[in-house]
Amino acid sequence: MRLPAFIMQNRAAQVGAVVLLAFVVVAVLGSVIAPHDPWAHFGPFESPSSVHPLGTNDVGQDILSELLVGAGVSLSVGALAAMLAVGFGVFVGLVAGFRRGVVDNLLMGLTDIVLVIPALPLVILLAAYLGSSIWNVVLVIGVVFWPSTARLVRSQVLTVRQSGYVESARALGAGDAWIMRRHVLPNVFPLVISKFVLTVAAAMLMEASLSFLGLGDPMVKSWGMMLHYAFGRGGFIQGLWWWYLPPGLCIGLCILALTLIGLAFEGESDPRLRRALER
Amino acid sequence: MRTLVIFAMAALLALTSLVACVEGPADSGEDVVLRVGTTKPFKTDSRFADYWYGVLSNLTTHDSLIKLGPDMTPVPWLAESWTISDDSTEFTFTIVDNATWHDGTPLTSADVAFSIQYYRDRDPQAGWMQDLIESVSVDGNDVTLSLTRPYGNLMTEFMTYSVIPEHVWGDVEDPLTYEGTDRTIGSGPFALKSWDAAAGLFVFEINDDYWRGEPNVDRVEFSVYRTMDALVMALASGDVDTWWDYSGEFPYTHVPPLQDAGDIEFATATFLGVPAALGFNLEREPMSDLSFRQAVSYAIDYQQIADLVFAGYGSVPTYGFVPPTHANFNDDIPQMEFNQAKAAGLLDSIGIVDTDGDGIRESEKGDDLTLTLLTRGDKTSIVRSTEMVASNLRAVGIDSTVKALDTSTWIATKEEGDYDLVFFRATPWGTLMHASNASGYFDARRTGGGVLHNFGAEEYLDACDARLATALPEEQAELDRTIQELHQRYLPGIALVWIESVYPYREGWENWTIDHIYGGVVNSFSWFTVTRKD
Amino acid sequence: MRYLIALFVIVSLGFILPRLMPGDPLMNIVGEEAYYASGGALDELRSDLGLNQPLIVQYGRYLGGLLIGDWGYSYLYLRPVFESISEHMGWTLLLMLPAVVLGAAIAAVLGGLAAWNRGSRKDAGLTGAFLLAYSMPHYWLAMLVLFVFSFHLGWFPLGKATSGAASSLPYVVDVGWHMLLPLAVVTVFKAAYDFLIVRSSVVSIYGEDYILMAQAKGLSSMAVLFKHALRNALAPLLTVTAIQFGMIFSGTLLIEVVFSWPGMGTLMYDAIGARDYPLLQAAFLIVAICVLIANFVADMLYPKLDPRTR
Repeated sequence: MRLPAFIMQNRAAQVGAVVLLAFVVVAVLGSVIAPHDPWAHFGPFESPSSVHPLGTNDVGQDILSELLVGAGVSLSVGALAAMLAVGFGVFVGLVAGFRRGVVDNLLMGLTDIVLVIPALPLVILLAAYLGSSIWNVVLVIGVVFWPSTARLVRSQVLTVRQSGYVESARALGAGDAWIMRRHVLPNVFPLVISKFVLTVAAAMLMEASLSFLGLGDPMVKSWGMMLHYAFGRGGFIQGLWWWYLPPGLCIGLCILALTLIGLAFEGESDPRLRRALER
Repeated sequence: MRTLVIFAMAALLALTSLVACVEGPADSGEDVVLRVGTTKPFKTDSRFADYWYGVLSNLTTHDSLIKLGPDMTPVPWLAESWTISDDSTEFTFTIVDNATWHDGTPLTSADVAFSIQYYRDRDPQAGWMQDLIESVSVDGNDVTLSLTRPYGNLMTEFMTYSVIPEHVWGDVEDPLTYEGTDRTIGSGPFALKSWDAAAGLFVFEINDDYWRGEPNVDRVEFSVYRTMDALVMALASGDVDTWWDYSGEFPYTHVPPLQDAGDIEFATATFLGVPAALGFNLEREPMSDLSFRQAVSYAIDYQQIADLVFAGYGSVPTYGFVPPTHANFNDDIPQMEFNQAKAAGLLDSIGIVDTDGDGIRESEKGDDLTLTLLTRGDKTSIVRSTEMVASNLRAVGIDSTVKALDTSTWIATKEEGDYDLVFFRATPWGTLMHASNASGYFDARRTGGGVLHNFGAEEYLDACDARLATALPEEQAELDRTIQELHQRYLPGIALVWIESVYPYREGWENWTIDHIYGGVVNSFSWFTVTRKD
Repeated sequence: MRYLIALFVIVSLGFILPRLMPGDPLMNIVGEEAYYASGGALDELRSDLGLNQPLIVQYGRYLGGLLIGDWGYSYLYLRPVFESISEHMGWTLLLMLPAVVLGAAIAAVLGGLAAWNRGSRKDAGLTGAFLLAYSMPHYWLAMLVLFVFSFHLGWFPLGKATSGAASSLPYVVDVGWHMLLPLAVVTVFKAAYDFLIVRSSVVSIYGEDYILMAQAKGLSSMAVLFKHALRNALAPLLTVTAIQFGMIFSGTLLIEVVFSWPGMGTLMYDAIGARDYPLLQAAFLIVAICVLIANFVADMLYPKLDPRTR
């Protein structure tokens, strides 16, 4: 895979990858390295101390532990929702691009419709309908983000189909599957990776927004829920910056890292952009 | 680049100094102006269409026949006296003869009779009147209501219904969509001067001809904020003087910045309602088993909820459900007990044991006992309480999944009975509904968005009916105590905490009266007692 | 053609989706405590609002109403939907139109400058700053800004669109003062996104022949940048701006909540909570149409603006 070599060439992507890796490590090891059980109760609203480096929240839970465990939740929600969205999007894009005709029109029509529905209100609506469990949040975010991937993949498929190699391959009797494997997928791959990475970022942000509005899953420790309680339970108004700053910063840094990586991959597929991102 | 920045700063400076000249609500002369902040979602100034404006108008622009006094007894208002027949089916109110509407027209007993009939026939919220009030008749200053059945609680119900002018509403078929500017006319101490939706601001001005005498405040401004944070910032920085919420409690988490502000004081009173409570779905097993409900009640750490969720302003309730502020509080009923051993013992005794050693007890059917906890997603204090109860239950081997839903969905799910335990709150007025003592929440025959109607034991329904049927204080007292006792005996619901409500206000304002139904210091009584020390 | 079908489906979706949500709109009209099912008044209300009729009939009335411009009555505000929407739409436009335009302008200038000085500290600083602004959760940043500038420093009001001041000039100034902070915040977010696009576009043509030609002709560096290089960025920037115009009504909910700005986002959020079907239908439709038009315009604009296709 060209991945390691590519990362080496692009400094921005390097920085992003390092930061992201750090968060992923924390996400995986979260519950192991957390100093306390994030659900255990101590004294409420405590300032940072050696026992509680980030203090405690409104019901006395250790904020640092919440933050570490929350990494896993927020990143998982982002990743799962993005997998759902991009996976479905790729599928739709491929089918629409290859089948053409009625199927293409139908699928693209569907794509247009979902694209046009305002994201946050739709998510709120679905959350009200399905309930606020974390799985519903993943599902709902996935539903909102698949159309742009579908469009992208479809246009790539169309471009490739019209290219010289493919026409001659068809003349020689090559079937759709072969064309897909040999020409479409390799071309689409970097774009899809880029889309995936950027979708993870968008999904994490969407989860935080939903939680802020009170539509998240309160029985799950995500960074978004931490912010929800930090604002709603007086952390903000009392000036407890150790409670409301870290989760926001973490979300921001993850999104930054993902954006750097995602943009780098975008550059990979578009030679013009590649030069743009080199330093 | 630098020039751009300099230009921008100059523009900013110019704008801010311009605004400074224009700024500020002008206090003309010696007017006493009270600015109140609220987070209630006001939408219009129609008291029929907008639930919240309806509540607000009861305090400002309109009068009711009687009001609930600070000592929990009825206070004469538009009705200067009343008589109740022995069988509690006939109520006669004598109306004062010096009340006038804001447009000068005198308020008569005809207006009162009209109002009652209008509410009965046209107000969806007053549906209960339709099968209760048989007829309304007028004789001089007296208005007599004949009921289809005894209803001792009528007095309490009429504390929240204001009298409306017949000459405005007489021809109006649909009060909800009526757009006439006279729809805000009442007989109250203030008249509505303006409602600015974009600014979220109600301005009420003094009614100089108010029949009870002039209020101490010349102008009241209600400013609507979308979040509590914004309201508290406004209170701390001097944009508003106090806070109002009809049925909620001031969040304790927001008290410290006000204490830091230095010029905010707090009035306190024991909250009449129950800010966080738990109800059982008695249609399902094992909740239908009294021993199970008792086990659950022993498993909960009430003190922890009072300390952590309600910042120490809470206290452990009793099994009777309603707090001591209620008249006829049954003080023989003991406090809720937190005892994990007892909980475990009870669960063992009814056969809910952990046989496969995974830490979770199995129900009789053999699968892990996982309860569905239904809770209101929009109230963070209730969600936090649910979280704590869930972990309390886990500690005695009962697992749970929490469904935190928005209000509309919560109501729909509750109505379908799609839950094992439901978390709710009892508002002050709610605890006085029906047969009082929060029976309005449990009586299985009741309907209502926030109501559980989960308890149908004959003994309970009979007690409620008896309480409704009598207007005699001694009988009411007896039955109040009985109903609370039945709550202890059958446990249809558990109060998780009682609280000392705090009501912040800017120093300099003194002599507030506290109204338990209408929420703290901003109420009909305060207009005549509050003073401003300049 | 595809757009027309999409429009029809969206119109229907606007009808179906709100009704799929559990919860009764009547509850929100009569309030939480006193939702008594007994009594004909509730049934009368239901029939007044047309809620007791079969869905097909309601659907028909909805479509018919759309065609003649009758958008129904809001349950939440109890006035014609059209009035509520136009009021809120006005506030959103007031805030967002300048923000989108300013954001694009700032991005064009700064993005071009950054790209032109690629690798320098100026570039690193600008790109870094905008990347950060782009990545941080917007509502979180907005809350911090409100806290610092309104609460602690007291330079700006604590949200809302106006303090209810008088009319004409003082009113305009009052609204302007309330608008400054949310406008600044939204402009920065828009600018951040646009900046990245402009920068990468300009950088990508840095070594191209026509740029070298212009420089050889003796034009100053800035002239080359603004007269020639930025043209390349025009296509993607305008496309993105067109789409941003389309998204004006849908993307602002969180900022509106933070600043208590009475715009469309707040309207939709309240309407969802109250299950206000007529309001939701109309709002949904407007947003969808805006986005459709914007996408259509963007699809048409891009090929025309891209210099390579000329």
